[in-house]
Amino acid sequence: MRKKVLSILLALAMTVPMAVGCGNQSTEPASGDSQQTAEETASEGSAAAPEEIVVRFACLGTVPADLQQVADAINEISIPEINVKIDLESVSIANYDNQLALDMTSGEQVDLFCSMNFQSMMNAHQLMDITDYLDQYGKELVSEVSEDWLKATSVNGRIYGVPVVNGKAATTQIVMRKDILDKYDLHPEYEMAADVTDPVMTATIEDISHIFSVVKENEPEMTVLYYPVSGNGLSGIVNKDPLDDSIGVLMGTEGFEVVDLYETDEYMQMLEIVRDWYTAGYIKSDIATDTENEMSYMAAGRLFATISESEIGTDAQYKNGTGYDWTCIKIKEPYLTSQSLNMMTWAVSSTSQVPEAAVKFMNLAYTNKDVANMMCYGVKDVHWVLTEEGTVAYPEGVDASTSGYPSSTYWEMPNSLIADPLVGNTPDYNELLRQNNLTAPVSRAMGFSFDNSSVSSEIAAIYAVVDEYRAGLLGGALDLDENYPRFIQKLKDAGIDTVIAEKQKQLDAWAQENGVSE
Amino acid sequence: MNIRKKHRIVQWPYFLMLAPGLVYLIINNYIPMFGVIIAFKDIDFSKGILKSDWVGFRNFKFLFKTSDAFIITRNTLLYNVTFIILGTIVGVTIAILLNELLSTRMRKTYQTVLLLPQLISMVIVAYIVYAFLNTESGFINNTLLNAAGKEPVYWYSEKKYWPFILTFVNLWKGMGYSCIVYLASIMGIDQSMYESAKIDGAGRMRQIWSITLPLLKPTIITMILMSVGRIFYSDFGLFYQVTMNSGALYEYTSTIDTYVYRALLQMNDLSMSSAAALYQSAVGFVLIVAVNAIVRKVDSENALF
Repeated sequence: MRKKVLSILLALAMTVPMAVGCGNQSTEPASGDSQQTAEETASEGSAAAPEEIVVRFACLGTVPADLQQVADAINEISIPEINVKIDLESVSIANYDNQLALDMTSGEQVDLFCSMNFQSMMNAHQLMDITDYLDQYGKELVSEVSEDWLKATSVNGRIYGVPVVNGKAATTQIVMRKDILDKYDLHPEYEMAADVTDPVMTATIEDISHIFSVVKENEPEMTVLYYPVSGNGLSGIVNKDPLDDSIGVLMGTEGFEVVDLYETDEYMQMLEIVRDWYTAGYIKSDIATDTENEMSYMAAGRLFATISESEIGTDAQYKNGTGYDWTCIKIKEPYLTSQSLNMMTWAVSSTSQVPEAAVKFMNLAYTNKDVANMMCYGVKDVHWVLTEEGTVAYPEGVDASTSGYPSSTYWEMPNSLIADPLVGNTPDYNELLRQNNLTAPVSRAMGFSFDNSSVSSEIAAIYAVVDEYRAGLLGGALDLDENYPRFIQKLKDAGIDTVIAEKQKQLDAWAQENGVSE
Repeated sequence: MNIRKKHRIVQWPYFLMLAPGLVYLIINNYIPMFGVIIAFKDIDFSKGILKSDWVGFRNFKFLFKTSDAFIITRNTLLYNVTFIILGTIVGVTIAILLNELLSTRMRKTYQTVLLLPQLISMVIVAYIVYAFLNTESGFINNTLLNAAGKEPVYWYSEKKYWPFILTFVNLWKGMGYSCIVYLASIMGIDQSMYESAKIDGAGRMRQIWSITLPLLKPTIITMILMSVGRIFYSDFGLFYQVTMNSGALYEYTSTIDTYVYRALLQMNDLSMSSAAALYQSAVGFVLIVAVNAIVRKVDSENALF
């Protein structure tokens, strides 16, 4: 008797998951069917029904309310032009990568998306090889973006994505309050230096230190310098190609020797500058744990200076965000590397069933001004208006927090250089950015991409070490004599030499294959 | 036989009542276990989970790559052992003290006050701690140390203080909750025992020592067993939020959870995070079976299984 009850229970326990399993199985073909029938009825009609793709991008904070409206407006162009109907999706940037990975494993439709992590998505096989589709449907796109740029998103000669087209010549800028500079009759002007070792840079740093000391002395209520250590801080003044992940880099402008960035004299020199500023009391004392955005201190009038890695137009952004005037000066030459190009990449999901349609739409988004404007700013006269001088502004009574499609994510859209510039910039802003893109020095390892699958456990361990020290070192809060040697030793324990050796091997093979000589 | 049969029939409704819970358990806890295979695979999104390549134990390697493996295991275990011991002692003490309060109203008030921290989110706790410890404007540096004429302390870069800070925060937050469980079982103790003890001339302390504590033992053992099973897990909020994720403190504050989170946040690697989670569960499972075996040896009545 007891056995019988148990067996019934067991049977129950087993049928439940089976039923669940059946449920899954039965829904799948059903949805497939409906898709098929949709296609069939479409092909029966005179013109083929448009192919539907799901386009996804990251939003800051809340998901824009008017995604559907914007998608409809874009479809009014894309359906007649290329017979593709898009569905716009947006996920908060905080869990963007994770959500994408989840959706791809669970089989949800995502066809085209902005990847903020080209290398790791490449290693996880999340991106589709679109070389052939680009040949067929993306001719205009390729000539707009240039084949050189596509090297940054290629692996072994196959293209896996298209870099976002915007101002790529971002570099380290020192940002200082204009009224305070004027008050003490300070008029800084700096040339862009090539590297931290450049005498020009030494002079610049000396002058900046002098300005800091003046402000520190005369404005005791003010924090002189603060920047979020989650960013790059001052480390951008060390000229390097990070070769994807900054673990093993190419220094300077010559040679193909991969070295440990953190061990180099240049990096140490940069750390010493920061440490000097910190001990002199210029840097906010709890910088290493402060996660506040610099803007909030700037807007409160408590902060004199910050460091920003950005293109021209930063002054307009800071002015909009803080209400003060800021003097922004580029102190280091920009340096184009694979990473600066593929940091944001539009790519087709490897699970996509309709890659042709996705590439067709990509081609349109990179080359059609109206589509670009809509992707960047939303629907004209609803989400934005064109000012008299030809820039984009919010309509009366609307701002970033109330807009149904805020313009604050324009930088991740396929091509913001063919769209109209944002208000606060000069009308020829995009022309200037284009110019800078063309004149910026390009790394000799442009196009190299590191396959880290054989050393992924070392890399995970190294990241953990870097995480432990970077905030303290980049903010100047850690004593160098005590901590720096320990940092280097820990990196070695974690296996940084193994990673560097592997990277060197791959780089040598790449250089030979591509005929890049030293 | 006949009598037995009757018993069975009477029990049927109970099994029926059990069914929804069982179904829930199977769907929510057993079916997802299929996911452990991710830990042994190199996930390839174009192939899907089932068809991705098997890689054996490769995904587990990164956990043991550095001396960090030792540090994080040590931190996780030591903190949890401290929390279990101190938490139990403090919880039981408070429960007994509350029970001794004659006024029900006062008892309720104290209990509520003690329980409040448990209801506060760790993120908010982190900022309460921050308000005390902030270098520039924190209460301790600005008011206490200032008044005592001492130099300010850079709390978030001085790791030596943190074992105490974290233990204190954990006790402050958790004691109200653990004392409720103990208080409930103390209330369940038959009052006639205390009465007869009183007649025999036993004082308050004697009653606590000879009646309350022995009768509380099963509850204490169950609670400890349950905590031991989670000894390889750490309160993520406590170790990540309250420390403000400050790198300078990692040596004393990094636990398996925070380490894995930080490492994989940058790697975006499903397989390695699953491997770490599986490692934690496996060790937790071994520990709970071991501790239970010990308890069974010492006091078989109180063992969980």
